[in-house]
Amino acid sequence: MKHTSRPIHLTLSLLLPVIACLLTCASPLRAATFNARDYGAVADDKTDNTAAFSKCMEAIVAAGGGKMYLPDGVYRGRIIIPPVGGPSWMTIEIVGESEPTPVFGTIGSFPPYNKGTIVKSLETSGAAVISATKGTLYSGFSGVYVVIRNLDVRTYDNPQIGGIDLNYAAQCRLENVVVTTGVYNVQASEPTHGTAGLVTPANNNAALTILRNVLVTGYDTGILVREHTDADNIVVASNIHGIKFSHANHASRFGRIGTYRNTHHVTVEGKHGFLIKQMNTEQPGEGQTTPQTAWQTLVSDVNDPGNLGTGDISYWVVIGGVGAVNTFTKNGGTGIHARRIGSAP
Amino acid sequence: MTISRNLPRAACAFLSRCACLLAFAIPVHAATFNARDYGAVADDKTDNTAAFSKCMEAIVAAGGGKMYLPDGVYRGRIIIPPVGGPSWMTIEIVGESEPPPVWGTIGDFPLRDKGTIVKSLETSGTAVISATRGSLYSGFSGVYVVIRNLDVRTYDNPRISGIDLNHAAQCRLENVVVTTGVYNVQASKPTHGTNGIVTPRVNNAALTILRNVLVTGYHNGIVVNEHTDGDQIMLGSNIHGLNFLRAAHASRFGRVCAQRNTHAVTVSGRHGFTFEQLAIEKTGPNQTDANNEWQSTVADLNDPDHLGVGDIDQWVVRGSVGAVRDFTIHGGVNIRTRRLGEASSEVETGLNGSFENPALNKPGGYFEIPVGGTVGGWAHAAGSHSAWIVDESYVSPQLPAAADGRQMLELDHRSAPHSLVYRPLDKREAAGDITLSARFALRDFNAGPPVPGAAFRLLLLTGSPGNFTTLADSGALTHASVKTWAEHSVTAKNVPADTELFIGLQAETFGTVAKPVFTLVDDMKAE
Repeated sequence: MKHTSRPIHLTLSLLLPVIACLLTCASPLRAATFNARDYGAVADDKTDNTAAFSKCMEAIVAAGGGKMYLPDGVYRGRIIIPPVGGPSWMTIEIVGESEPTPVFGTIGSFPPYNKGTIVKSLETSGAAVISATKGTLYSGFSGVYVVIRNLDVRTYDNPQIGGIDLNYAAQCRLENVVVTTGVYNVQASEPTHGTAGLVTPANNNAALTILRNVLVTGYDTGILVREHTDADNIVVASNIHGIKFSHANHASRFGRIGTYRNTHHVTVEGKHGFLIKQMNTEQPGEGQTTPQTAWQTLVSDVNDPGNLGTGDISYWVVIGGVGAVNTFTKNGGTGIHARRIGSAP
Repeated sequence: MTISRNLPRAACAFLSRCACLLAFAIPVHAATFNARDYGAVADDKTDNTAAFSKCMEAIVAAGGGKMYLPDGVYRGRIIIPPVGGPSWMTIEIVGESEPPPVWGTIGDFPLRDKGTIVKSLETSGTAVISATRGSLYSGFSGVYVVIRNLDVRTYDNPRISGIDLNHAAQCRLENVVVTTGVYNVQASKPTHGTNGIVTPRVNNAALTILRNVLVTGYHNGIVVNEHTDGDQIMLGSNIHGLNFLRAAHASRFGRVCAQRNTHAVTVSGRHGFTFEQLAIEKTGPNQTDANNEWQSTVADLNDPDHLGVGDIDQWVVRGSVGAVRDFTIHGGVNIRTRRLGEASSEVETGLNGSFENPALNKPGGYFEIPVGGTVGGWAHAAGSHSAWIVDESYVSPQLPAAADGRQMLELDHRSAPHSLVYRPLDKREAAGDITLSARFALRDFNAGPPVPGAAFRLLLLTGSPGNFTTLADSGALTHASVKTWAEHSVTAKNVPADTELFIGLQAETFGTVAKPVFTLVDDMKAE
């Protein structure tokens, strides 16, 4: 998109900006871009936009796919991706205006900010903030490739609902996505409701999951990894299970991941082959937890009690306030070859 | 099309846009700030520094946003103001077009003035783009800096840096070209110690993502601080392509291509890292002239103080020759390197390289210390052991040199309690008692505090490698301090004349030490 804006002189007649705005802003520039605000979404951090989002989604599905565009602001409500029965598949993009700030860390206290494009739900039951509905293809899949970019997805401390649940989507690609509980991770309370920040598409005949620059904090499970995942620049902080692998036929690949203050950085609960090229961990050091955050103390770097994982991990471990150490704690994981960077293969 | 199905809604949208217009004087998006609306002129003349700052002030006042630069050549510097927090924000600097990554190993290609170029010819002061020190812990600014589709330029042998994000908390760079305005083959030697890119330094939530980034013509191409993930990185004609500073966490690079750098990778501080593919091209015969002979490679991996820990998979090409087995290492005892496609660490002959010694690659293995050399090696619970010979001239910087300047030997004996390191001694011409004295220091590899509980043995051996017999054994010796050495000795009685002699060192226990290193001051005497 070429921006053709010029300095605005307020002395001009109001008519010109009215026309300019109607032409360039209030209407989509492309047929395949559906501005959520045109469907009634209001970014006032109050209005429940669930119905407006659904109206926008209906239009996208009716058009055979397209992009839901969210200008900056705080949108309350849930985005429910309707079932796409096929037989043709389609792409549904959910795209915010600005890249979210990946606010996380190992010390300090930083309040949440309300800038960028934020979709937020404080509901205490039901679907995740963004979810794909069960479809009518084989195994209940929905014939949709979900692309989410530049989005900040929020719930609340110790959340009873998930962040992004794409279990029923056929495929997905996420880029520059932050999923938090609206609390700086160091202060996050123990998640007791078994919810997940991100669930990728379940095993299916053409699963494809691409994750780039994704941050998840404060959930029971940061990212539930299903089939065919290729991920890089992943940060999972202050979750009970940072990354959890469930049963998959095909293998997953991770480039660099940062795992900080999780109870278990990587948990394996189903047969899964994977490669983690560089796993950077940090666990809280002495005096870096309180009674409320003691649950963020490390129990294991790899938690695979059933020995269901097969794969390779190159790790680098840091203890807060101490620095790099050469300890790596495995619970089970006999099929996982873990080595410190620089050591013998 | 979804145009204005609902007029009142459109009117609302219009009103909110008007509010934006009044507040920020930008018409398209609330979060997009077009630099030209703040007075920036892309005429390759006007100094836009003040206009850029005005735009940045508006972005910070709005709690973050995108500075958008339509194509053109903008003179001036972009200074990202300090963001004191406590909330952090995203500041994007985005050009209209993707810059062409103009660089190479031969020829002469003038750089075009197309795309979005930010250029400064200043001879002192801050980088072309810089983040200002903030007021968060350690002076950080609570800003996530995103730079996309930008060509950042200075001039040949620049006195200022390209992009300096040292004080930013986090960054992501994509499709960014940082050059000195000269095709790299013709770049003069950078003599002012300036940097193409400096990433955010060590902080509690550092995050650096680099994708499709080219840097040419600087002293340091990219200064790598904390938590870096880089891929599609190109480094042309820098003195140090990548320079790693001390970091707590490790860095990962996917494919890095380094051409005509004096050192492709330099390690200046303790840093763990992985290179999935380090592709190098060095200058070939007749590919340099008097102006650019500094671009001839001195070392592909330059880690004289052994501060790096990591893995490098490499592939080296020499100009007009082709692929060669010529990956040169200076230091770097803790870095495993391997040529693509090879089963294990690469094998080099000679001392200025590294090799895996099969004799040590088993429990109870042994290894010869080269005279005047250094041995590094470690073993693993699974029983695989490895050792490398490195730089024959290396003198440990961690310890004081002996008063008379004698060489020190570092016996890096980490976690290999049953492997033995040794070196041969001169034979005695007469029979009699032999007392072996040696001075050692024992320290933690990570230069940690004193090492209580660790112990080792000093041995006087005879026989031959693989078939040693112990003549004298000191028993467990402990050493409670670092950075000082102590003398120990053992005595063997009635040793026949002309017996083969070796000094051996063997770790006994490591106590609390994760990575003990023995340093043997090279004044061993057997009398």
